[in-house]
Amino acid sequence: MDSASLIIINLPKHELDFISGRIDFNLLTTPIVLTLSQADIDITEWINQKNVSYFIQDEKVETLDRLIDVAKTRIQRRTVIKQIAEQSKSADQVVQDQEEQIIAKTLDIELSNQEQNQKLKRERQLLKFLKDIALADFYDSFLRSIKNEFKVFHALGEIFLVEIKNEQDLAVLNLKVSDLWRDHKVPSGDTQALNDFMSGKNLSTFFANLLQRPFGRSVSMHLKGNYFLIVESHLSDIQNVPFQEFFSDRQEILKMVFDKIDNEEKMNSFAFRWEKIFDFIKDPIAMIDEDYNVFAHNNAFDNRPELFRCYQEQTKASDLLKNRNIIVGDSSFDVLAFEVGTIDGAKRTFVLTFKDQTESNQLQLELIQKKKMATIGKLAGHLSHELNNPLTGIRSMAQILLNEAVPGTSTHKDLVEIESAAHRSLSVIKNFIEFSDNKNTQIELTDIHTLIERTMPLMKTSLRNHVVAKNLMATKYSAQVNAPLFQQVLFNLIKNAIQAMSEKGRVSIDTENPTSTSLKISVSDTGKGIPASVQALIFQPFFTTKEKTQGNGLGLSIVKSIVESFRGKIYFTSAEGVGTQFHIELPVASRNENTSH
Amino acid sequence: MKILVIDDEVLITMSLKRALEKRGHTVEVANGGVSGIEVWRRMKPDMVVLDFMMPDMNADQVLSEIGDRGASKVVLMSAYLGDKAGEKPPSLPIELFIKKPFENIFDICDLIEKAAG
Repeated sequence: MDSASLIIINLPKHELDFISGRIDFNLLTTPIVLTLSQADIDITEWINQKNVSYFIQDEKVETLDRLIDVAKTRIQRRTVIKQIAEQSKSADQVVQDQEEQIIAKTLDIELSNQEQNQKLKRERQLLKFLKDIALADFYDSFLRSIKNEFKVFHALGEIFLVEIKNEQDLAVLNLKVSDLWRDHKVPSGDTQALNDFMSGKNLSTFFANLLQRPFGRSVSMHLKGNYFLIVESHLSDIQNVPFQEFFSDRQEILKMVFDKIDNEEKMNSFAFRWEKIFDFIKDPIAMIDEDYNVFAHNNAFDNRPELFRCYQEQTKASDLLKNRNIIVGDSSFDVLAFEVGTIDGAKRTFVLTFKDQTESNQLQLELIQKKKMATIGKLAGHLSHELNNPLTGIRSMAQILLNEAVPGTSTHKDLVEIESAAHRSLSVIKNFIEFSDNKNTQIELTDIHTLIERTMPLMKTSLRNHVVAKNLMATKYSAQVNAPLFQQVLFNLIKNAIQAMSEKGRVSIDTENPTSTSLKISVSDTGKGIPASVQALIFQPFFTTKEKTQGNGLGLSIVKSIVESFRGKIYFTSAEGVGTQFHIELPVASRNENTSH
Repeated sequence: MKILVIDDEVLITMSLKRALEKRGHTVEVANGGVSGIEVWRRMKPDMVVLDFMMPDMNADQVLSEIGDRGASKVVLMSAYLGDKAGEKPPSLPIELFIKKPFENIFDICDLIEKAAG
């Protein structure tokens, strides 16, 4: 009955009760039509009770037909509703499906965002690490940066930088031990050290042997060439996974930075060695460009700051390549220049070597000076002899005439003047001859103490009125001099000392070694001293403060020449009324030195 | 005593002549080697005071030119030879060597007289 579309009941009333006792019309979805020929109030109540859709009292056919149409329409409507309901149901399904998809997708996006963030964070961390470690400029700071980066893993052990030098030797840098590389021998029996390091196998055993202690798990990284980074790890297997990831993430950075540091160190030590070589060279060397900018130089160049200024002043840019000689103060330098190969467009670059020629020039000058002196000596000697004759004649004639003249007359006085002038002139000449006499200027190793001892007795008469003190304290007292000439120097100085003292005084002769290479001879008096106004003049030829009969003014200038010809120097200190000290400093000579100049 | 003084320096011959004449000697002078030899030969002096070095000739040349000196004694004067007056240069046969310059002409006269004996 459920599948029926319309139920038409045409039964007497008692029959209706029977049916309705069997079928609960209220449970039926199908419309029920009740047709009765006669109706009463009872039936109306029943209809109300039994959910009858339609009640037809007459039995007209058209009414029934209409009823069937209505049922038809109703059925159609129900079908449509059913269809709509079904359609709506499937639409819901679609919506639900889509919602699910959206949720899934949203979840996906969220997940990938998280992943992105994590990746970004990782990248940031790497970048930070790169920044940190890029600051490392030596192996030790490199290791320090790594240690700092790895400290998030608490159970990590020590970190080692290892260089395998050859089959027997390796160097280990471990900050816990030292900031410097320590050399080690490869543990005996291990012939595969390099292979072990390359493969990263057996390293724990290797280190246990090397360090003579238990060694944890070793994590290794081949940095470059024979260099390896080894991290000792006490991490559990679970902790080890993120560490391995962390470690390999940093591999590229570590390799890159290590390469940079290693190259720099090698460059530095290379440059350092060259620097040392150039600093060892005593000649100043500099590299300059055509605008006189110095961009490299050795120590010797640093020590002579005035050198380059003089070079600049004395050299035109166009002459940069020419070897030349420059004068710097008292020194003379040969400057050798050569051009370093240049790149087109870049400034021209030159290497300059400054060779100090002073000493060789000095020797040459000394040689010239000696020759000059020899020539002058010869000339002076000749001239002196030429003058000797007429002067002797003048003096002799003056003596004869003096003998004849009446003392007290003006003629007598004039003759005295002529005689003494001739005498003085002859003395000057005598000195000249002694000085210019080259027969005896053989310079030889001379014991100055002995020479002093030999000279003093010769002055005994002159010294008899004075106290004489000798303090020969020098322990090195041999010098390259000509003994007779040097004796004359001593004579002169002692004579001067005596003449400076009008009353009884003290003449001291002292020797000492102010340095291990010099001998100082001092002659002191307690005389009147040299007035400050003439101190600057006393070594000049013909300068004298003495009475005409006492000196001829050649003494000290000759003394100075003689001392200087022995590479010595002479100077004095003097205080008026207290005394004068003349000091001679000579280079000390030893027996094994060359005795000829 | 006849004395010949040979020296190229006029003042020296003049003063020696004057000093020696004062002492009563006969003195002639020559101011060169050549003229000296001439006077020597003519004069035949007892004593010849000879300068060692002269522009025309030296004493040794003069002496070899003279050859046999007879009774003439020779005193040589020089600024070039020897260190001390009185020292005799070994190569020349002379009585005395006098170093020039002189300190005192009268001392020289003494020396000459002494050398003459």
